[in-house]
Amino acid sequence: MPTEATPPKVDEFEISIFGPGRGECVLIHLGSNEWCVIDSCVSRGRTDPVAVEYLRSFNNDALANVRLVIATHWHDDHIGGMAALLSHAPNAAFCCSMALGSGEFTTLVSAATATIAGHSGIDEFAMILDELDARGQRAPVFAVENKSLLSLSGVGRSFPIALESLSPSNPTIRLALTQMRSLLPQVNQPQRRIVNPRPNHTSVVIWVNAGPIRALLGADLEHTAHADQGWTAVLTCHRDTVPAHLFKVPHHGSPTSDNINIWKHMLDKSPVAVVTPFSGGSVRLPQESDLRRLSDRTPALYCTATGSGRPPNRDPLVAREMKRQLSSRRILAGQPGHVRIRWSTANGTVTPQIETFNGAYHVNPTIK
Amino acid sequence: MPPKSQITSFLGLPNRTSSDQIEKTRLLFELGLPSISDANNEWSNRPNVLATNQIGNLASTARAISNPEASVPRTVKVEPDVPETTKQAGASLQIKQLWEGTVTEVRGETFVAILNDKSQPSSPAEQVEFEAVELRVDDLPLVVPGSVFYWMIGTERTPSGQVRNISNVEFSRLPVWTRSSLKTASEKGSRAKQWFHANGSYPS
Repeated sequence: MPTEATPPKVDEFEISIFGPGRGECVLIHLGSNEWCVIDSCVSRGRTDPVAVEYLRSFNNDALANVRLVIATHWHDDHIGGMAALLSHAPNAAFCCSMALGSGEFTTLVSAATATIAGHSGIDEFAMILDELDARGQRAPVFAVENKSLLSLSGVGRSFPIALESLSPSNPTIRLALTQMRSLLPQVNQPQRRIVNPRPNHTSVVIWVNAGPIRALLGADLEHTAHADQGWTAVLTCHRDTVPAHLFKVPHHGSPTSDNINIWKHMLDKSPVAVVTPFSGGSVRLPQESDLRRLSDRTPALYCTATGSGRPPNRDPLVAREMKRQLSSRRILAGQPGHVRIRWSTANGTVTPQIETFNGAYHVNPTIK
Repeated sequence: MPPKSQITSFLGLPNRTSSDQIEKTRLLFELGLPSISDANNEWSNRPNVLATNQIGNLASTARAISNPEASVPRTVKVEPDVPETTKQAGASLQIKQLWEGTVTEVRGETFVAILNDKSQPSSPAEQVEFEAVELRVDDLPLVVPGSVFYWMIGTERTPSGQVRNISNVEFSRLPVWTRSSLKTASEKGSRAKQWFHANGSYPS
């Protein structure tokens, strides 16, 4: 009986989705014990990123075979622990949005590192740059629409696989740069921390092509009012005629990233769809209405967790004061659940084996 | 109806007069540490409950920004190094919980913040929503995204033996960006961009 620590067979294509620690993480088995990690998170009370813990549990040197680590954007709910992940994966190349290769962003990182240390995504990004510098690795793969990020042939391997970025579009990058410039500090302004701007315009949407299998990983890309930005631009630039069998639902299932045309034109009729919760916004995501909307579109909707878990026990006085002074309170980092989807490429089937761990669940049977 | 929080300073009043001590106080204030000078205003007759060794520890930190043009070094430990119990002349303060907060959003009369637990660092971060009416009036202009504050909950035993619950939210007075510090950040950012694109060396 396979367990969570059972590694995939060399010819099995796997996509594992974890969340929410403080954020989320996607792992892709590229075949032949080679891996790609997209985003990173750390479980509550742990130090190693979930990707490191998962790959280490296989006891097969998988960490040394991580080929690519991708930061879809710089928000702290997507790159927590990524510098540590890179340090454990010495052979991995690094990939990030083209917008993060801009002078605006590197100046933002420099400004952030000149102020007090914090827990933000921009602090983590500074540590990523330090890690890349320490290993003598620079010039990451910069993702932009319609760009090949990784392509491995089937020669000498179990199956061919290719990863392509579908975003950000050039107009979306310009939007992101304008947003970054607005975050740059001004003379006589206090040296505050830099907090995540919303909406997120730098996000990298990824299309995976693995033999007969396709997957669309939606990151946190949202809509804008313009046809050449956001999801509308992705729909325009997308070229593969084979629909995706797996959809990592973007931005935690929020309506701001929902587009029926994605389901009509990019996805199989009943794809496996996976959504990860998020507690850090103005409302918890996904809302009940989001799960209902998504479950109407596929009978195979999965969610990695019901929430971030219970708050820690506090001294009675502290608990009383918190209740009295706060109008709302949410735990940001929980024990991430795990949805694992594996396809055997040996028999050419597109029917996957779906497993859930640590609180992840099949949503459709829970919808009344 | 009593106020929701009692606004006090949890370090009490340092009864010091030397210029060196005054300088330390000023620098701690600039670093965003619990405001001793504010305590002067509110607790003018209180004994000094700040231990001498605390001043010594903080002095090295304070020296790091003795030049007002300089930015705060990353190694600076900004959170207050407060003992669980401070006692002197019959008064005592027991700190049961200390958080460091970062404001992420301002919503009219309330603000949203991320709290990181300084008492139990393994505890998860929390997103909370405060009512701005809880704050001191002179802290209100500081409530903008990115601002840093400390929230302490504890009990105080007064010299007369009365025990009071204390909940204190205090915003840090952060150093400001100067033309030279901004220029330094911009130059470092440009060098980082060049390095990032495999053209140049990593800025130290």
